This record gives sequence, C-alpha cells and structure tokens, in this order.
Amino acid sequence: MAKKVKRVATDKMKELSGFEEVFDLFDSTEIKEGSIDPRSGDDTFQLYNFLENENIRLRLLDQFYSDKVKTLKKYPQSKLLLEEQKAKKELILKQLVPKVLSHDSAFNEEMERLFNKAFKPSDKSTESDD
Amino acid sequence: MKLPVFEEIQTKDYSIPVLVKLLHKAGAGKTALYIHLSANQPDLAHEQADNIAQALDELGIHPKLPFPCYAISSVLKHHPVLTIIKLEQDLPSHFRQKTKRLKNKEQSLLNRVKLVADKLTNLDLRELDNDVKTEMKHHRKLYKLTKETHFLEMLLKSLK
Repeated sequence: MAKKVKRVATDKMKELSGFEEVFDLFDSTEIKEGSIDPRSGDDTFQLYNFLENENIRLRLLDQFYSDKVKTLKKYPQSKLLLEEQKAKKELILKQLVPKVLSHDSAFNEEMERLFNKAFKPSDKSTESDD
Repeated sequence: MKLPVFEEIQTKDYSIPVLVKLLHKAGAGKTALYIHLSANQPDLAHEQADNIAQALDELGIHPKLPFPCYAISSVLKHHPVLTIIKLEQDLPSHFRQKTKRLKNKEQSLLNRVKLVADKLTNLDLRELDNDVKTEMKHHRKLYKLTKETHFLEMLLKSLK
C-alpha cells in the first residue's frame, strides 16, 4: 500500500527531528519537509480561531453596553440599596450606643479593667512608699 | 474590511492635526493600533499621549473600543484615557496575527466581526462609560457601608 505523504513546514520539521523512528511505526503516513499546500486543508486554523475569538469578544461587549448598561440606567438599584443600608446602620447604632454607654456595659467594664491594670500602683511600690 | 490586527503608527510629529490624519489613515476604530511615544521625559510623554487622546476624540473614536489603541512609553506610567505599555513585547498577543488571503469561512467570520464592531461604534460609548463609572462608585460605597453594617450587627449580637 502506498504511504500517504504529509508535508510539514521547515520550522515544524526541526521540532520533529529525532522522532523519525517513531513515525516509521505508523505505516499509513510519511512525513516530509516542504511547503504546505493551502488547498490541502492542513492549516493551523490560527486565523479562524482569532476571528472566532474576536467575534465572541465583540458580541460580549455589545451585549454589555447595549443590554446590561442600558437596563441598569433604566432601572437603577444602587441608590435604593444605599438608602436601605444607611437606614439599617442607623437602626443598629440606635440599639448599640445605649448598650455601650450604660455604666455597667461590657465596654465600660473592659475599659475599667484595662485602666486599673495600667494605672493601679503595684504592691512593691506601695510598700516602699510606706 | 482589513483584518483587525495590530497596525503601528509611525510619526515624529505629535501635533493633533498630523495625528488625526495618521489615525484616520491607519483605520483607527477598525483595527488595533499602537504608537511609540518618543519623549524621554514624563511631562512631554504625557503631552504626546494627551494629543493622541484628543486626536481620537476629534475622530469620534473611543480609545479602547471596539479595538484598542496602545501608547508605548518607558517613562510614562499612566494616562487617564490611553492604555500605556512599557515595551512593544508587552502588547497583547491576541491582535498579533500574520495576515494572509482569507478563506471563505474566515471571510464570513470577518464580515460578522465587522458587523458587531460597527454596532458597537454606533453606540454612545463615552456616555455609557460614564454611566458604568458612576455605577462603580455607587457599588464601592455600598460595599463599604454593607461591611460597616455587618460589623456593627456582629458587635450588637455579641453584646446581647
């Protein structure tokens, strides 16, 4: 049976050098160096892939600018959400402040403990003072 | 339509009328472009970048959409309108393609690309950009406020 000849570009052939024996195992095809026939369909599809990616990129951009941004402009939500959050924060603060301000609050107790720890005269100094 | 691959704009004169002509000739808005800024000082480079931005503005072309326009300069770090890149090698490889005669399938894809690109160009991109920026500001505020509220909520819970 005649072997099918596959033409490979020079730079590709350099990359394949050293693997010739492995290719001999596959009887059906023979790899030879030479220019690729554009009609053979043996292409890398690089340009096709680029155009496809470009098409997707532009379509997504178009979708974003013509649908999403326009909908956002028509029905804005951020301001309402901001007002809602502000109201919620004020409500929490109204509950929180009296709790912190009260004399026996956990915050004041902790402050008292820290104050006493830092400024209470130690036993040694009191003895020496006496 | 040409393939939207990188085109270099070569000039020594960075005045606005010359840039407008060159940008129009290179097909700004229809293909990706890059231009080297010759200035060695940041102030002068900024001025050159400003001129490019103004030339694009005069042509009514958005500097990033549908196809980007890059300025290459090693001294300028940032520009509010243009995308600045230090070296030519840093340009995105996406737009680096060898041009050749297109096959039927590629030509039909290119026609589709042209159609979507034209659709994008016909939108008021500057106004839409401003809308997006305003929305971004609101979202940042909302994030900060939500974080604060959550902290206060946790504090209140732990005090109960």
